Amino acid sequence: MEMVARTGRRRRLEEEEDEGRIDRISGLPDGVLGEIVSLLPTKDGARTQLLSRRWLPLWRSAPLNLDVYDDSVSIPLSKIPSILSSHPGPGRRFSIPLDYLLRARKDCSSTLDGALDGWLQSPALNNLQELEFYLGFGDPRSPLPASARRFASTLRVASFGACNFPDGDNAGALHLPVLKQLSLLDVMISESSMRFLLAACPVLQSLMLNGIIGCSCIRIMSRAVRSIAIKVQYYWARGVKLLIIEDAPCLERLLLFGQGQKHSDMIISVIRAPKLSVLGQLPSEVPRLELGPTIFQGARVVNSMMPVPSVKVLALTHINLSLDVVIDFMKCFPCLENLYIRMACGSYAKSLQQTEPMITNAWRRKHRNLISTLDIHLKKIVVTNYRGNKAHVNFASFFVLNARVLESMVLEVYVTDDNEAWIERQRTLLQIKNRSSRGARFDFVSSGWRTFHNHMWSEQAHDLSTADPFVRFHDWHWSFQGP
Amino acid sequence: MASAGSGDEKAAAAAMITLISSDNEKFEVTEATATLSQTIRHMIEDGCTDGGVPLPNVTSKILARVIEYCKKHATAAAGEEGSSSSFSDAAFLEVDRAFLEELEEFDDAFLEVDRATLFDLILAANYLDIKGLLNLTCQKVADSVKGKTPEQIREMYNIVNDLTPEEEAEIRRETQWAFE
Repeated sequence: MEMVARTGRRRRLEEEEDEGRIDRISGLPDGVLGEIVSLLPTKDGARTQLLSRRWLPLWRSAPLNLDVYDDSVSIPLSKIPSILSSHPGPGRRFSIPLDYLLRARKDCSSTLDGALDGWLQSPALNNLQELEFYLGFGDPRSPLPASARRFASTLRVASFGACNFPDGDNAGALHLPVLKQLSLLDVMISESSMRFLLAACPVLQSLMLNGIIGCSCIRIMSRAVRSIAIKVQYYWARGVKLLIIEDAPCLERLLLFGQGQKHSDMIISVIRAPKLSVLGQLPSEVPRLELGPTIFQGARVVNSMMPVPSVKVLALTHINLSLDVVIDFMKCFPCLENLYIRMACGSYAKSLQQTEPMITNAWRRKHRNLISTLDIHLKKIVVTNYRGNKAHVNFASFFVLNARVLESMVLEVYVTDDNEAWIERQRTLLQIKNRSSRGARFDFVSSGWRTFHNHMWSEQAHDLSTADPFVRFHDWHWSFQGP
Repeated sequence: MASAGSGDEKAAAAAMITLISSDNEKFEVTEATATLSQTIRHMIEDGCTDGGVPLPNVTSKILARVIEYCKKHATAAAGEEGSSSSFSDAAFLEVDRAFLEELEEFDDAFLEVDRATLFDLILAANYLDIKGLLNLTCQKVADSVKGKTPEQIREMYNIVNDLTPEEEAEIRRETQWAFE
């Protein structure tokens, strides 16, 4: 009996080993393998031809994915013609992003437009679904390559950079029936062309406007759009001055990029966006943001007439960490759960700091009544440039002691030699032992590397798979564990 | 359009479909769950689901996992429809958000399977034409191959190289840019 069981077990083991040596992947249908191949970065995809005879024809029969800048590997632009000629098409993706050009600037000193127009005519790119390019750093901007228009009916993702949308060309205007993501980067476009362009995208889900020239007013009326991101421009006579979100029943995210300067005069007016749940990062001074009758100027509340309960995630830029200001925001957004505060730094912030009144955030007496009435729903608080002075300690300890459902507080600090001792001292000052939410975590993390690349903005604007686009607010380098 | 159809959809959601695996196990699922599969949707439209839908290419073990996926994602689809009719309700938004996050976690956990199961899931998703599941599983395979040399990939998936040296040389010549 035991013998039988043992042989049975041995046979099973042998079968498992055999199973382990079987080439199962090559047995998948052509269509599936082609799908896998076209999901790979450009070079990786082409290299699968070398795997075996089974794999050899797959790369050429699957749609081409040509991205010159896929994470670790970048492909010189001079290779594009040979890549295009080695594939019969159709195309899935063609991408020459700004970050690539910034890195390889010497490789492409002039603008790309002449070459690009030719590349886009290649049959390898027929029925292209994703197109991204940045024409270059020359001035004036060249028009949108004529050959880009041939993809209008198939494009799902488009990012047009440093080009000019010719005006008065409405008859030949693009119609983009399946476009879901649109980014415009340093694009010259008139108000009427912008209106036509947006109207031509009936299923657009996310829109990123990063440097628009020649269009001072943009109106959004879209039944589909879920995310709008706009860069708050420097004072510039020809930039966007007014963004009106007239009716956007599905809008969830309104994202602002860039540091608004005090002298720019942008206004964003949201008339109807009942689902708006993510807002930020509000620069410290501008724009003026009107959510119906509730009005903000930069990261300050001007008028809190009507609370906006739909907003759950908020990111602010602060010159000085001010508890009063944050409490004002909490009154406007009574259901706020995640709060990110980025402390402005650099010379511009310093010059503003000098004109601001001294902030101590002493709250014990002042906010005593408030604490009993204000129901704090905050689950997560992230503060950058936490310095641990009196004002900062008062600020953070307010939430330590009063945020009853807090799950996590992250304080970003500078690394110093005796950091651990300093952090221990901070934990005492913040009265973490007496925290109101017993399950909360408190993490001190080092100030990370803070260059914001365009692709990160783009990800925040277009990646709708996460509810909170600020989760990767910073790349944390290391952290001390919570209690 | 969506609101006009929603009454019918609710009635249809109550209808049950029987799926029969290759090893003859029967699974009762709602029509809403079953129709995540385009293959089954077409069968329902053609009215040939009485007496159950035999799926000779899918074992009960894999079918159970596929149904688990479809059930989860069918509720997600229903949630999206519901929310559009009451979008001003803050409580509803909360449910939406939480659900999306939960769905992502579900997908991540769902992919924690051995390689044999992953391939079986791919085959089932392909046969049943379940787009979301096929994308999810193909991406998992693509991620595992990313950045690896052909030798490493062959090793990993037991692929036997049956190309002649001449063929290899030709591939390298024709797509030279991929090997630089």
